Amino acid sequence: MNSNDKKVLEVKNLTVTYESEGSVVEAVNGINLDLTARKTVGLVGETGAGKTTTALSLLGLVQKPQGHVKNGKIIINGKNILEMTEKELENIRGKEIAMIFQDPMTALNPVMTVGDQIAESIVKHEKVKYEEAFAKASELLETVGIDKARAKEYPHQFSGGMRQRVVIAIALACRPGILIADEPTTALDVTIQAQVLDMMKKLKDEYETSMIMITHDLGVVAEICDEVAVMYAGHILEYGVLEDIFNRTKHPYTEGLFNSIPDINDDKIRLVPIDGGMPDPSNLPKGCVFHPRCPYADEKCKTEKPELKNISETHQVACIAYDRPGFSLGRSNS
Amino acid sequence: MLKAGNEMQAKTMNIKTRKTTMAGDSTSLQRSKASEVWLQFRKNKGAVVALILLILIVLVALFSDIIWDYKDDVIKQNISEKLQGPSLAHPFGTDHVGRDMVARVGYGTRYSLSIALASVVIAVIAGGILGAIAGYFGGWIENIIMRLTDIFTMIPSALMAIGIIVIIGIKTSNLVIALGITNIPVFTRITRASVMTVRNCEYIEASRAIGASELYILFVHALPNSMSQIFVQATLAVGNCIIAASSLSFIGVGVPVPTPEWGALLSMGRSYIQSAPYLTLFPGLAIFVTVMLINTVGDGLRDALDPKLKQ
Repeated sequence: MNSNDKKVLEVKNLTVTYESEGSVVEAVNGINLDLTARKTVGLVGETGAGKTTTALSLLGLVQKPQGHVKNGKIIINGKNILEMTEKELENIRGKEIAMIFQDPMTALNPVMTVGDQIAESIVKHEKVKYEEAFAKASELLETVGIDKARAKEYPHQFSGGMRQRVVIAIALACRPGILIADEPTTALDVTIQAQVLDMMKKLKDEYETSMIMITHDLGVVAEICDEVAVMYAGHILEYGVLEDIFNRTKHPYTEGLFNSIPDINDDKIRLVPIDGGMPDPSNLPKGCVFHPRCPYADEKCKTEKPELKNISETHQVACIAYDRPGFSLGRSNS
Repeated sequence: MLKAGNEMQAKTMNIKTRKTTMAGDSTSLQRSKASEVWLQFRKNKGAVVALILLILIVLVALFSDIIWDYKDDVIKQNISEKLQGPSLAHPFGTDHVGRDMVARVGYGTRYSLSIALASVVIAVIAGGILGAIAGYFGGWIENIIMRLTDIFTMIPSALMAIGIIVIIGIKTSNLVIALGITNIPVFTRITRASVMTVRNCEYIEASRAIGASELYILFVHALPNSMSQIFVQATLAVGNCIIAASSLSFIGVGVPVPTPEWGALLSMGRSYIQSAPYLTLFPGLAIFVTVMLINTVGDGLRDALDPKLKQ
């Protein structure tokens, strides 16, 4: 840890719900998250774990009227964005915090040239003339590895990987301090994934940006993240630096995720999937949210809600099984 | 030979657009966009022919006061030459008071086209804004706009136009207003529907994420993506408005006599349809041909404007 570990983002006890006639979907339930300058935090979990909702709430973009940020604080550079007006929010979006969207096929406006789309954010935040912004946009295209003469072309003239580069260029246009990447490589094939990840890593270092990487791909996490938060049903179940999560796995759910990955060195071993499916988010189980699928669960897990507890300076886990004497996961034994 | 020449021209144009692309200032940007649309448009030969003919018709409309003298050629009666069949002197014949039908149909172009265009412009602007607001923001504002639109849709449009004209008086400008109002609901619906589909696209969300305001997103992202549908509807509406204006003139609530609007000409020729069918034939043909040309050009333009069809 050096003296530069200033916190650029603090999320405290964030709770987000979606309400529609009669049912309340508890998408995010009291999560805490800190982002240190220039670090990358991975948010890992299954589809529907609340990762994207968390990301959208960081931008103040939870869809109204159904979505409600119930509780908590989101502090970006010392300011709580939940107390901001729409106008103030518009001023920090894109400038202090920006987002890379999942699907490059739909995240670009089909009737606008890519150069114009990158320039949009520059015109908005840096108050420069369009020509200047467009020139800057062309430079940015070059930075993400696309010939700048192509700034006048439309999104459909680019391949998926190149479009994702354009989306990244849009997000980086005003050099935001915080970058949220919502599954940026999910829609790409594996070779392009690697290229895009490499580029993001390079640019992130160059621009000194902190990043929240949302993914369900543990390979991507290993590649790019410094810290990892494992999310399930709107809760963070385990949190720690990369080595903690990968080598000193403590939560049964995290273990389940690792057991679901094929091993390249052992092609005969059977994969062990996690039993069951995600709980209905409008009717979460009592006690630990993971207990219906947890192979280690006992009676106590059905009633008592586990808190995130420190087990080392960098590593937190929410599992009451560790109150049992001598408890450890199968994975750490093998 | 001609084809090869065309291709050469297309190639040089292409090179030109490339060059302007490199220059990178905003005027060349617009020029290159327009020339791209044009390159695409000219692939559709039917539409190009229609466009040329339509330009001729528009030129006739623009210069009709130079080609014909309104007082002498268009409305001056000349009973001695009444009801003459088509001849060299009067290719479209003469009407029941001896006026040359070429002059009357030709001058009518100006009235029919401008009435139709003006009413469509009114309808597109009013309906477009209402529909965009309803589709984008939803909620109570959408309810109010759409229920009002429903009420307007329920009244048959011809009946409503007649009603409006009767209330505000028979005048050419009132005809335009009436036709404009009757066309608003169509554009409100179309704009609302296409803005609603566009509203949930990820690039709208992405635009919010870079700090764009809602009104900016509506007018810069949502509306342009809905344009092709509005555009096609507008070209269809120009055709319909020519017919509607003609119908209203036909039953006598359109333009006042002796204005040579096409529908009014048809209406006048109706009494002589057996003895002098050319009195109804030529204005009818003028309406038919113009509407068809406008629709063909509209279709061609829609295809050319769609960036997905470009190479």
